[in-house]
Amino acid sequence: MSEQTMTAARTEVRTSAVGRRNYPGRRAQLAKRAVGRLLLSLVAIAIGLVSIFPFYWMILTSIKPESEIFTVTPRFWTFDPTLSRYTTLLKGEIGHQLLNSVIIAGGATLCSVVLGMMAAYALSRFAMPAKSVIAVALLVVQMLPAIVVVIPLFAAYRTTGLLNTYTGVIIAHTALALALSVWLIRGFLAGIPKELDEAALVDGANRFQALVHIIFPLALPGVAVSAIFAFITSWNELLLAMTFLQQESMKTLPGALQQFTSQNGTDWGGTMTASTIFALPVMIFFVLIRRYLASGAAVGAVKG
Amino acid sequence: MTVEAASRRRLQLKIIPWLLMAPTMVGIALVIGYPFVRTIWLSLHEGRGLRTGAWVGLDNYVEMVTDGQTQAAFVRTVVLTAVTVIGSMVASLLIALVLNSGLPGMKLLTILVVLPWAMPRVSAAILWKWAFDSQYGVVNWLLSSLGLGMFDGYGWFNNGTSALFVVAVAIIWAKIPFLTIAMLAALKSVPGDIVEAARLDGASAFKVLLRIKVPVMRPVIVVLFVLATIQAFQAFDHIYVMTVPPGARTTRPRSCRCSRTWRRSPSSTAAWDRRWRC
Repeated sequence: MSEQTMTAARTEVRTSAVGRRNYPGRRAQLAKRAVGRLLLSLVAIAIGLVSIFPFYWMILTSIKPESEIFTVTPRFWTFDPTLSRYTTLLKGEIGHQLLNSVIIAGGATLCSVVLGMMAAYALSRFAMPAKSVIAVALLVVQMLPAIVVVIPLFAAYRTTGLLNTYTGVIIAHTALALALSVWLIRGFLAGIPKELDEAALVDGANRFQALVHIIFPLALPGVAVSAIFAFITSWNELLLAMTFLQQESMKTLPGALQQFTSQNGTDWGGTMTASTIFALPVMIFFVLIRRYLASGAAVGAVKG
Repeated sequence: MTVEAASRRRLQLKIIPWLLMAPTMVGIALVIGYPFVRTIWLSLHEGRGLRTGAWVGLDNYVEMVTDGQTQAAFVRTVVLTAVTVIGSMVASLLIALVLNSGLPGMKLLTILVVLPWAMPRVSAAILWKWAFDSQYGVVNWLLSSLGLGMFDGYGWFNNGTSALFVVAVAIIWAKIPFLTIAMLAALKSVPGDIVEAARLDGASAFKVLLRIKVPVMRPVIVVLFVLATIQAFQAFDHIYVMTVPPGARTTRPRSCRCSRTWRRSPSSTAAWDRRWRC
């Protein structure tokens, strides 16, 4: 290519950049982009509708009068809302069951985060023999479904008197969530420079102080993600909770919801009211830790 | 530092990690390890309620493997796992792309996508079952008002394939919040200048996704894939809630068959799980 054509080409680029507003085909390109944006917006609206619909339907059903719940043409709004189901339900056992669920899920979350943090710190900061074997073994443990352990555990709980106690279920749920917590938090700790703990140690802190005051605050996003994971796991866990808590007064969320379904059918209004009541604490929990959510998931997953 | 202090410090470095690991390892060994070994042991015996019967060796396993229903349940588990894992991964990647597109209102949409996570899983399953009800379901109403007359009163739970489809939809829906948030965070870590450079060089949006975004997100996608697969294999509550009463047995994969056989004899469940699970 000769010098002259190069210069010409360069000038052309420059003029097209200057005259960008009116070059031919600009209108078509703009139209294409507008159509693209419109389609994308429609897709976005569809996503929003599908993901929120069951949630909306749950709340709507809980305040619909009985006659509007089962209709051949679904009714997407009610002009006659009623709170009577809430008042009847709140008079009954539900407050107690909610408390059971909060105690168990909260206990399991706390245990698995604290123990997970300790184990993850050990795995990421010390030279241990068989480190990767331990890490992989934890993942394998995570793969075992609860059903594998439920029978022997039931027998063991019966002899040790842990049936129908909070402690028993908290221990079981912690074990279910713990392996994943260790993995998640370990991923986050890998992103925190070792020099930080060393600096703290040189300054006279002991290992425990370094962990609590330096490392824990930095790992908070990862801790938040694993806390949500543990909480949701325990909150929704059906099999172990139903097996180990047989007394009516010890029932948790899944048990509370099942009482609305009998051989004769399902009390939809009641089920949805109870579901709404049970969804509230989780929503509050989300709001409390939302700041750490998006940032946390990325770093943890990348490093994990 | 004296020699003594140095050696004490070295000893400390050896002991501390084990002290930190101890509660986790002891807990998991007691709650999962011991019952797991015990389950294997039970599986080699005849079962009578909660008592252990006579030693039968691998008989329970042979019975399980040759049982047609069990084989069918295993196949269904694999199919359901594949469908829900692939479906939820692809769906949440697409949703994350939309959320990352920079259109107005995407912050609100992110909240809408995450909110269903708060819903009790059992209730979500119940609601999906209701939505696909032949008479009172929203889905049939929607499809038939869109002019698809064949769905008027269509019984989704009447045949195995469509029932499996409904369960898959419910499971995928439940998985989307977590996967989408993780994917979105990963997408945000894709360097913007590389994407811009590729677009200026004339790469299509699809090419950019395939050649730049997905490779950058690969570590996250792999971790999520492993997690999703593990969880899908353990799917229990959705299937239990959605298909229990009216005998729609054909949708029940492995985990539910376990709970049923368990009532008959614990050892056969054990055998079962040992065989397919591990």
